Order: sequence, then C-alpha cells, then structure tokens
Amino acid sequence: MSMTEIYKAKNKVVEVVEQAKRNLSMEAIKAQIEKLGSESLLTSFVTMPNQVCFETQDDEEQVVMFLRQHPIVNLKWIMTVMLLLVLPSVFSFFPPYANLPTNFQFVVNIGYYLFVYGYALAMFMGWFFNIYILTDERIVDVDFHNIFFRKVSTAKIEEIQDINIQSSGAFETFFGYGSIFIQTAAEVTQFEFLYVPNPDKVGKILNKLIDLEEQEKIEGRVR
Amino acid sequence: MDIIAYFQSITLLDITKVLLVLLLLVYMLFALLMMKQIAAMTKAITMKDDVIIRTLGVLNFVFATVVFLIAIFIL
Repeated sequence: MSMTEIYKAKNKVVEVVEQAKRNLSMEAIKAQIEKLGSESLLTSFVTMPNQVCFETQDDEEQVVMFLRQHPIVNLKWIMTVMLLLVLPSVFSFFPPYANLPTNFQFVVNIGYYLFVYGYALAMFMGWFFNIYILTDERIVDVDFHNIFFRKVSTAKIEEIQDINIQSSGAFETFFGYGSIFIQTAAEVTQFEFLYVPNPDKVGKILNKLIDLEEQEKIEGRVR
Repeated sequence: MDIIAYFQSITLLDITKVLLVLLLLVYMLFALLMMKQIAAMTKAITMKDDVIIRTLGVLNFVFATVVFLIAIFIL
C-alpha cells in the first residue's frame, strides 16, 4: 500500500466519522423537537420546516424553527386599508374633487386605489419578511422595517447567555403570543423576537438547542 | 412677452395634470423598488409559495405603469 493510498483511506475514514457525527446531531434534534405548525405561505410558527432555507445557510445546517409575528398584529393596517377603500365614496363631497372634469376624477380614483394597494403591500411585506429563524447552529433575525431598511443579525447558539419570555396584556394572553428577548455574546447583544406565537414553546426549543449544543461540545461533535 | 403670455395661459387644471403625472411617476419608481426588494428578500430567504408575494410585487408595478400611461393619455 502506497503512502497516497494510506492518506486517501485516512481521509475517507475522517469523512465517514464526520458524517456519522452530523447524522447523530440531526437525529438528536429530530428526536427532541416535534413537528409543529404548518408550512403554508402565511405561517407564523413552524418547527422542522422542509421548505425554508436562507442564503447564508451552511450545507449541513438544519432549520429547526421558522417564526413570524402573530398574524393578529396585521389587524391595525388591515382596518386602515378597509377604511381607505370606502373613503372614495365621500370624495364627491369635497369641492376640489367635485369640480374636476370626469377624466381627472377617473385618474384620481384609480391612482388612489393604486396607492392603497401599495400601502397594503408595503405593510404586508413588513410582516411577511420580518422573520426569525432558529437553526441547530444559530439564530437569525431578519428585521424588515420598510422597503428602504432591512437588517439581518445572526448569533451562534453557544453565544446565547440569557432568554427572557414576555407576554403582557389581555390581547397577547388571549391570542397566545408574546416577545422573546435573547441576550448573546455576539456582536448584536440582544435579539428581539417580537409578538411571536407560542413564546413558551419557542423558549423551550431554544433551551433544547442550547443543551444539544453543549452536549455536542462535550462529545466533540462541534462543527 | 411670449413667455409671460405662456405662463398666463397655464390653468389650475394644467398644474393638477402635471402634479398627478409626477406623483404617478414617483409611485412607479417606488413600485419598481418594491419589486426589487421582494426579489432580493425571496432570494435571501426561500420559503414555500413565495412566488405569490413576488407576483403581488410585479402586479403593483404593472398597475402603477398602466395608471401612469392612462394619466398621460387621457389627461
């Protein structure tokens, strides 16, 4: 057996062992975290999703949880949009509009509905793209404030120092949502998962991930 | 003299027309930006059925362009 063959065989053994370690980690996560929620387009809580992935995700990284704010937070802008949709019926009472020629009134009307659609879409995007992802390796917080500002922050699971769960007020208690504040040793020291559904379950899963990460460290399975 | 006569011939309706067209042009650019942002976000995070949100963004831009063209032609 030549030296090259020995070297190749050694590399193969290392690869197989690494793969076995990864499979063990994956199995441990799957065994401890049950599948909850649905993977529909408007979902705000789903564990172990199959169809969620993000740009900076590693090949071996598994998305454990996908979160958005509770859909009830959209109620305010939906009410505003509904009010705006019925508003043109009172336009004719305003002299500046009433005195316009018909073609001008037509353009003002369709332009108005276009703005309302744009407003609704911008607000929907604000909810839809405000995402929190937990993987077996890190937490990812995508803050989408408006179409001109977005921020993506990440921290490793092992950098988590403290988790605070807060659910206050009648609305939050009734609809079962709340906020989670995660203190980390990463560059971003505080992660805020605001108005997420089932905050207790999220906290529990976060703790499980921390435990699994520690176990991996002890067993030398750290990636 | 001609310039003064030109400015004197401008009516309130003309100003309204220019303002409406400008407003719709700005909105069209805003819609384009929105569409780009949606494309960037869906590329950054892939989810199930995210084609729907991309379609909503494209529709917004298409509507904005149509309304802008209508405004130019009928006003």
